[in-house]
Amino acid sequence: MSEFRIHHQVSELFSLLGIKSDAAERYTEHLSNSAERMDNGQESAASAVHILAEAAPDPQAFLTKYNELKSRNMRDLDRLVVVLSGLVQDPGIRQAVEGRSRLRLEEDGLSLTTVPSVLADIEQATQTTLSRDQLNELRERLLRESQVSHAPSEALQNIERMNESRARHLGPTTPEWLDNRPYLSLDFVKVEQSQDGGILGNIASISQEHQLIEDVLNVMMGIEGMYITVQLPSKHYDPPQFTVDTSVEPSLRTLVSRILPLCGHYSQLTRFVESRSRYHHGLVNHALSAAITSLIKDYMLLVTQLEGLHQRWALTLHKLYFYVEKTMAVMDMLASVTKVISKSDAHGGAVLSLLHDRTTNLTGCGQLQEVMLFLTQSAAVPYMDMLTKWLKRGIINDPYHEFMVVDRESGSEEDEEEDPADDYWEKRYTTVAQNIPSFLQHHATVILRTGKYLNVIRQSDQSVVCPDPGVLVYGLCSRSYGELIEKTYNFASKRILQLLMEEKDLMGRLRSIKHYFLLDQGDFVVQLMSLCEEELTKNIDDVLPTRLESLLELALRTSAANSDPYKDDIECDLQPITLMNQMLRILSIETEDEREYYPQEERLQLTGLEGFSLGYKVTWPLSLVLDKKTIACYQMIFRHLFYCKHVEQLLCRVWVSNKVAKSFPVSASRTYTAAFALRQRMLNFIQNIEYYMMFEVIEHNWQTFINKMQKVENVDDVLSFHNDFLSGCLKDCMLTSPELLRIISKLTSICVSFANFIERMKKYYMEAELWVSDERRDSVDHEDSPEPAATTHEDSQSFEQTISRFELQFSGMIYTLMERILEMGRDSYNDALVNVIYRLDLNMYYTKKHEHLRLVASPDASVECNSGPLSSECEEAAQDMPHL
Amino acid sequence: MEYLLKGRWKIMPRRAQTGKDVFFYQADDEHYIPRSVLLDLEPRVIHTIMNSPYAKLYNPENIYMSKQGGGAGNNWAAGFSQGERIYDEVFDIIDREADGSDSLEGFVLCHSIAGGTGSGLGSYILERLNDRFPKKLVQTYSVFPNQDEISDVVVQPYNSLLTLKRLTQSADCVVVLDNTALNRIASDRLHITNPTFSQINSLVSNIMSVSTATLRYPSYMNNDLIGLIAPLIPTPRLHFLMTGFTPLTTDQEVASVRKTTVLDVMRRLLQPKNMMVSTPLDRNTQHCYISILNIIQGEVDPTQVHKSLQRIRERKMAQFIPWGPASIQVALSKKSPYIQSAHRVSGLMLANHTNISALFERTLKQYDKLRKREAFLEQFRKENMFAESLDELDQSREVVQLLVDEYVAATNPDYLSWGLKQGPMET
Repeated sequence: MSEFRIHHQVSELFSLLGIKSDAAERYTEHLSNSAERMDNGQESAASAVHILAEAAPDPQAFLTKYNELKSRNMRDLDRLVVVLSGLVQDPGIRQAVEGRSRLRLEEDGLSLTTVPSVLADIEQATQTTLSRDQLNELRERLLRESQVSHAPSEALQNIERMNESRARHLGPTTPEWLDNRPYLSLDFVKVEQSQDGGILGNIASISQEHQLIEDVLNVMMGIEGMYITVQLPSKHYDPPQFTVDTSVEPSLRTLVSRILPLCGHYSQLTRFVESRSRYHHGLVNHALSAAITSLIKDYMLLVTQLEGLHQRWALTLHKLYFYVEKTMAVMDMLASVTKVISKSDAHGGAVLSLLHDRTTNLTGCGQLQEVMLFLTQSAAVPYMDMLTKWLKRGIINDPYHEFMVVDRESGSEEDEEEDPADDYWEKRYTTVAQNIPSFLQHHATVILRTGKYLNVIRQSDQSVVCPDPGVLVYGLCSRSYGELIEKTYNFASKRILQLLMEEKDLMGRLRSIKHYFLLDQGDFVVQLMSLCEEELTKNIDDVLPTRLESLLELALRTSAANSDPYKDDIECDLQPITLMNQMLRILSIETEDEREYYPQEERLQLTGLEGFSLGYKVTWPLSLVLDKKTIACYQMIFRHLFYCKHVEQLLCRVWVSNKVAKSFPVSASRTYTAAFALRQRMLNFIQNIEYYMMFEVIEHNWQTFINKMQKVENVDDVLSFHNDFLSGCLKDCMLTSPELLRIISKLTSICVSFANFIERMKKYYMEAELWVSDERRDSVDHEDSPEPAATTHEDSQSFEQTISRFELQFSGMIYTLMERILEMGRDSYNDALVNVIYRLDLNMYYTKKHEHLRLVASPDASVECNSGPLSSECEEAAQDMPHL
Repeated sequence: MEYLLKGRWKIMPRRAQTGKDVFFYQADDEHYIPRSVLLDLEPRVIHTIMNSPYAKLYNPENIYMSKQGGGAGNNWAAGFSQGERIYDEVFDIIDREADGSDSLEGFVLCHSIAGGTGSGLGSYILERLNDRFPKKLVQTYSVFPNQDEISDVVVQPYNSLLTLKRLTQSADCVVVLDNTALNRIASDRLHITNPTFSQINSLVSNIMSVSTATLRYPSYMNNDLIGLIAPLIPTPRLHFLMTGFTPLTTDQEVASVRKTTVLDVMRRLLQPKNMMVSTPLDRNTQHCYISILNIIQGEVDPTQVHKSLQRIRERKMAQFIPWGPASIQVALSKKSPYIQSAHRVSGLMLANHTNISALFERTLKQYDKLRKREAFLEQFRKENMFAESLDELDQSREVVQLLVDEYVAATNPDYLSWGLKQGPMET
């Protein structure tokens, strides 16, 4: 599991618990460590049990419970135990959770209302895969629970009940006559019978033996004898109790009681066959039952032969015992297997794993193993059929939920092709851990992928069928099916790669997306910006999407993008939320109220530029790689870059409008030098940031991505490489750090307001300076400015002040930015980010200036920066700035 | 007398467009025609072009030769006043081309500053362009005369000074092509004893083509002229750029065997010997870079750029202005697929360096020498502009002197307040 998902789960958990999330990192680390430890498996389970037993309030009860669970062959029991022991041992987590949960418990009035949900969780944990994230949730519940008195047995009964009720819904309903007619199988049907054979002890021992043999033969067939009575067990998987008439001679009784377990096993088997043949137990159980029935048939034959002997008076109890001894071992084994299966209510893959484990354990036991192998093979037939179908066509035919792969949304096949779900790849098909037979465990991911690939291929090209994979047969040695699985997998993965890369030209698509979303095609962006500017400076509600579409179209046609075959898939997309809030919303979890409150407030002042984004039409099956989430990531990067470009353009426009100052007289033009220098600083900042993001982040990651893609072998790798590429870009473009993003967006907004201010002032300074200069030097060669500005002096005063205010704001933010980047670089050893500093401050200007500021942090300096709340920020930055 | 690009005028309205569309338009028959205008007051150079294989490249309507055909006689004043006379005809052509461009961003002007036509007519057109298109950019590639040779244009200092004033006040960005340095590079670095025009011209055209590479091959950044020059020019007057190029070879020389890395290229670009401007070292003032843009072509790994920057910063290979952040912008650009090059990586530097003022100081000195003797002024007095007084010359000197002062001031940390102290004293 990826680190990210663990992190996500932990933070979710923390938010549920209401713990402040700054500790999330630590716990993530802890968890991923423990995840590794857990993989180390069995040996730690014993010690974990020991630890838990010690910590439990009632060690004895805990151990009994553990053993009971163990005997039921629960999956992941050991892992759960290990995690729990880890929790018990870790004081940190305990404290954190306890503090909160106590509060909650008090609210709940210490009621047991949480019990059902905990039960549900335990059930989930034991029934399905116990993935680590579920463990996270479990742990907090369990810990909370540990303070309330725990009622384990009740819990488990509950689970059983739930299982049964759930399972019943599968398949057709069992016909009633099956329950009404108990004589269908011979299994000690209780009939009111009044047999009166008198007391056996009174007759001769030879006669006693004859009578007893008669009875034993009856009991062996499931009919109650005259002198051997039967008490049916309370649990259906236990053998019935037999009582031999007390008056029988002790030697005979002992002999009989040695034979009697066989009868018990027979009864168990019959009952197993009877119950497991019902629909909802699934095909594997049916097949197993059928196999057992065939064995019982042999057994019945044996009984018949014995009876024949008995009829001819050729059978003694000793002989009988001799004849059945071998059968007894087999029946014993069968009974124990069926008992475990019934007890754990296993079905599907779980049954197969159980059988497989037994079979391998019996290595060297000759006949017994053969019998087990026969059972396993027979039981595996329907499962292997399903597997073949899945591997060959990608179809799941699994009415009883036995197969290892689950289709999460079967039934909506038709809609699928029109609008494949976003997370199709991730979510549609998943494996169910408990249904993976242990002998297929190693192949599980391969099997899952094969079918997935085939499904994708089938949706775009119906005709594709995997070359005949042969017949999958269970065998003790994995080679028989392993090779076939590999073969089909190779076919499917090659085919789908070919489909994506060659037929659908995935790389071409990605390259085209890069042109537009990552601004690789610079002239297109320039063109688009100059065309759309008028439209986009409006409020977002006034922007006409249709007009934008046509402008976009125009930009595409008139730039170099015209030669791109995929240019028509680009479309406009206006998002009513600023990038920063979008990122913040993704990165942090907010309360409901805030979520509703945000957009309306924002919409009022959001211009089209801030909300503008591109969209991309993706067709199936490319949407596998370019799903909505991925496109959203691209959009975020695009919006960020686009806005930076816009700011750059604004500043360049300021440059153009400033260039007239060349012809101002020197004294006058010097007034504006501060403004020029500030503009230069801003331009320097924005260009360096852009350069950093484009070349050092995007282009660099892109190269790595391309290199990886050249060696790619299957589609899952394509997906993960692409995701790596995107997340690398997002991270290094500082989009994932709300703090940096906030600083940068503040910086850009300062730049924008500066540019707007200069643009506003343009009229005044043009008039002022040109008039002054005209008066002083007539020869200067340009158009007359008609009106003298009366308030030149005051204007220039306020102009200078405004500029110096902008300057202070900007420098303050720059310092904060650099300082934060340095800190983050130290924390996470993130080289890439620190590069920004080298770029921003190549000639150490900011460093030196900042040092200087720090040195003169005297009253004089603070008077100078008396621009409201900003001065404090400035000072703060000045004090915190470390040596560069 | 040697003018590098004597009288060859190229005015190229450009659109913020891609590749070929930047400087060319597509004719009806799918040929690409440059949007350039060729102007001269005498027919010789243009005739050479018209007899060359490139003759068909140009739109004949865009070629203007003065009807008198007499040229400007190496006299700035003559060129300037002839400009007034042919104004309508020339601007008809320019307007037509400007109207034909989708999104006109600016003009590029190539001329020399020492002779008559390039300096005089050039100055005139520069001023008019600035008036007519105040919001468009005007970039010039200006050829400065060779100082190592004795020029047969005796009034060269006058011409240069008068042109410099226009370049200061009307051009937005001047790329200085110094014939002194170009010749020196040809002889010292390329080992050509008597460099021919075409050899030197190939150096110049190389610079021009690389400096527009990012416009023609769009990539992430620097895709418009303004984005290219705005970061280089912090204050409007300081807009004279030096260029440097590496590796320097002509077709005669076999490409050297050494492996070229980005750091090599960037380091060599900072060496004075690769600069295309000859400036004597001034020991009194600490001259420094105001800004640098490196355009690097070839196979470059973006991370290498960062490492090179780090190295340059650590070793303090370049001195920067103390009054603001300055950085080495690096634009990575594709190479033309049509030109084979033996070099893996090549680089062009466009730098704004305060040392360029030395060039102007030299012009001022030469001017002062001539002016003291009142030499060769008769030709100027013949024209209307100088008929009454020589004020124009004095004013030009003032402007150029201020330019030099400003460049020197830019080496000081208190540059931002430099003019402010002076301001009140002047009034």
